[in-house]
Amino acid sequence: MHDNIGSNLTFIINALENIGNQENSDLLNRKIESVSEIGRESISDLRDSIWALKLDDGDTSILLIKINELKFKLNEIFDEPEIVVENRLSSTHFLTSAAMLNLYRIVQEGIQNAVKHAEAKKIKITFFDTESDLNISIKDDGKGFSFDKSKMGNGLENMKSRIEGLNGIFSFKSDNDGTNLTFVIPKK
Amino acid sequence: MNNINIAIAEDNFRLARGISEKLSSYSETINICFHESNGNLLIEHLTKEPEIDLILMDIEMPELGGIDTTAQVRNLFPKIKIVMLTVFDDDDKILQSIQAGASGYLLKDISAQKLYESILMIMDGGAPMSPTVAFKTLKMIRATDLEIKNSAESKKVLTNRETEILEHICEGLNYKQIAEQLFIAPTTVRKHIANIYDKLHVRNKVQAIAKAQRERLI
Repeated sequence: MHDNIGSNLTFIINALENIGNQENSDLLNRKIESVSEIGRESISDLRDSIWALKLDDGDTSILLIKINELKFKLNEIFDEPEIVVENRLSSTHFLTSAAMLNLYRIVQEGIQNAVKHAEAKKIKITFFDTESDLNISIKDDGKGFSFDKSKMGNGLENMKSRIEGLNGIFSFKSDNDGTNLTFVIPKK
Repeated sequence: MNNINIAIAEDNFRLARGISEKLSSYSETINICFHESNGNLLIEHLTKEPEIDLILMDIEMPELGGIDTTAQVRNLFPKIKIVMLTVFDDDDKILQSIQAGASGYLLKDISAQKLYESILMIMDGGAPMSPTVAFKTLKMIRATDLEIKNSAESKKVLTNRETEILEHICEGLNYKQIAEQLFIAPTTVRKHIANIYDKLHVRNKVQAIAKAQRERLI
């Protein structure tokens, strides 16, 4: 099933790129590029979904590797913003597969917002724990946003519902110096 | 630089054609010599036309799949480099491919330029590795190190530097960043990774032989 979808998407992406290479019109090339970008996004989503499907319950170390994998891939594409992942956990913590997927999507969304809308130079993702909770903060030094007119509105709503699904709390602070998203979930 | 002769093993004809087309803009340096749709046909063709430098290899193919084909080609034609091409980044299969002797893997939707650059890098002795694969490699090596320690002589498989580099890859650093952290040249990082790949490959062979002996297969 997803093998076929994956191969077909790959074929579409490759075919578009090959057409683009033969084409001299700038306008057409821009259009081709934007369609093939959607193709790449889709296949990347598909890869994450398959990762989640196959995922067993695990712990924070598995989530951190997956986030580092994302950082690694983004590093290949751009130098800025710089992405820093800091692990200040006192020990690893058990996470269900659903928790890992939701936390991964939250971090992915947080990075995406900072990259696309905030013009940030640096994004720092920190994992830390307290007696009772696991905390993740996503902090950038971008231009900040106000909630009402924000293009980030949808993204923030998504993050909120994902964290609430894990009995967690989402809070954020945003001003001219940047944005700080904080996610807190109870340790099991 | 001499031209690089490439063969493609891929059972999906459309994807094979897509890959050839991608490389067609680099025909000054890259010759696509032939395409076969499974491992048996590939090996058959290689015996007739062995002047291949690099094989772009699909993992899932009928009759003889990419991982087994890699092991056989590495034995029969040790000079030929093999790069796995995959739609999904399935870590277990990628790790198995590396153990079978592949010099790395690339995703099939890779851009033409990146594909070209990766081929040059691999021909130059480099080997790409991702954090998940590095993480699994470390875990696997630590497990076998422990096994060996408990049985006979304890000789570490990886040097401290190699382990350190794998740990940095796990943290999501790329080769350039690792080089900066460790005050070494990026080419040195690449060389270390290539050595790690070789060790994984050798280790896999030694283990396979040991297993066969244990199970009285040979």
